[in-house]
Amino acid sequence: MSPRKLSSTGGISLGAIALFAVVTLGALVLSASFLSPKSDSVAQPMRFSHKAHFEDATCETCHLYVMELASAGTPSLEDCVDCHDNTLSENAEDQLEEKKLEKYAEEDTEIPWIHLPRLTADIYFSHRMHAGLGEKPLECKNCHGDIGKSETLPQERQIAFTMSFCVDCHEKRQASNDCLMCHR
Amino acid sequence: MARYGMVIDLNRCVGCQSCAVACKVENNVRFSTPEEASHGREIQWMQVLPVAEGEFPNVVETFIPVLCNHCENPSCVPVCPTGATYQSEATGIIGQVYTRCIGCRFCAVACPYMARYFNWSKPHWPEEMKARLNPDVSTRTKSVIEKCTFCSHRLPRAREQALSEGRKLRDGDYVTACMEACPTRAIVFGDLDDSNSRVAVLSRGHRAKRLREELGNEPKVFYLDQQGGWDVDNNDG
Repeated sequence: MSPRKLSSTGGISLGAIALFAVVTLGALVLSASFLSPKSDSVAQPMRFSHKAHFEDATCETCHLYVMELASAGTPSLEDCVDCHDNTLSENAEDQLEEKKLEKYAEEDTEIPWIHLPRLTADIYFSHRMHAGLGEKPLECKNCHGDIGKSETLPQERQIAFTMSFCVDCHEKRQASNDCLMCHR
Repeated sequence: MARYGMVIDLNRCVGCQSCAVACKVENNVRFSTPEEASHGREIQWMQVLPVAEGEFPNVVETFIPVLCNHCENPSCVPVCPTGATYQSEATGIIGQVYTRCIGCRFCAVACPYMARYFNWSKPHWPEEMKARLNPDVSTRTKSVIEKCTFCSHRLPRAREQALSEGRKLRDGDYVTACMEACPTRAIVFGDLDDSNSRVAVLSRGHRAKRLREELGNEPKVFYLDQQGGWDVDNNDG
């Protein structure tokens, strides 16, 4: 009797463990699918290649205020049209995108670019201070990585702007790590 | 290294409240309802306290602008469990990092000058004002402490400007909103360690006094006494 009883209890507990495992796994998979960002979460209005633009221009050509103001500035439609004067590329795929630009220009509406998450509102950051002033100004790629080589607009920042990223660099370059220099 | 401080000439102060208004506008200090004010929950980083001395008809009215004293030996800093409030080594300013504050209010209890304010409710402004909040200063959330920062958000910009002109920061490059707004120039702000700065010269004068000096907090806000003097302990301030 006793061995049989033992085995039946063992069967129940094994079943319970299996059920628990299935439920937990299911919950994990579900929560992961809700929480993780989807790869196509940033759907831009048109394709933009930093690489193609970088062949004929520098960062400053389009991000006009990077050396003079806190904000580097996103090029406006007017800035795009300054160079794109209705001439089309040879590549058919590029032509498609350029026609989209022409349409925005005809309708006189700004291109609704979607910006990746920026620094939080309580942080003061100045492009001018970092890239334009001082004896050893930073290069854009120090913080923005190889954005100049990208064919499409990125889905996420190549270098995450975490506090440790900033603090490590400040320490290395002997810049102030006083809280109030960045937190406002 | 600098040690920023302030001198307020009580002979010059006419109690117009320009400093209090300028401070509120510059630093996105919330508005309070009459109900909140009746509970003592109004937030005013800069307050102008009136003090009447003597009896009618021989009355002398004095106005004392009161703000965070940015003490050399602050009572608020050692009690903060999270390091949200700290004394800057580079400037001597007592900073408050709102995102780090957990709202325990130890600092507000410890401050002998009652210069720290707690956000008992979600900050609110009149509808017309929302579009003109100062983008250089973050708005606070419910349940955090706030206080005067000596307009520290102006310092990085002043430094940048000086650097772009290839020079060091000069006296007058970095000033507070209250100093700018004062029509009688009663408020002087600057680096106390720069012996030639106006604030350093005035703070060394015989009229310079500080609030509750006996506590040993070594405040960096100096008051230039009126002729004949006034005794802070005998008034509500």
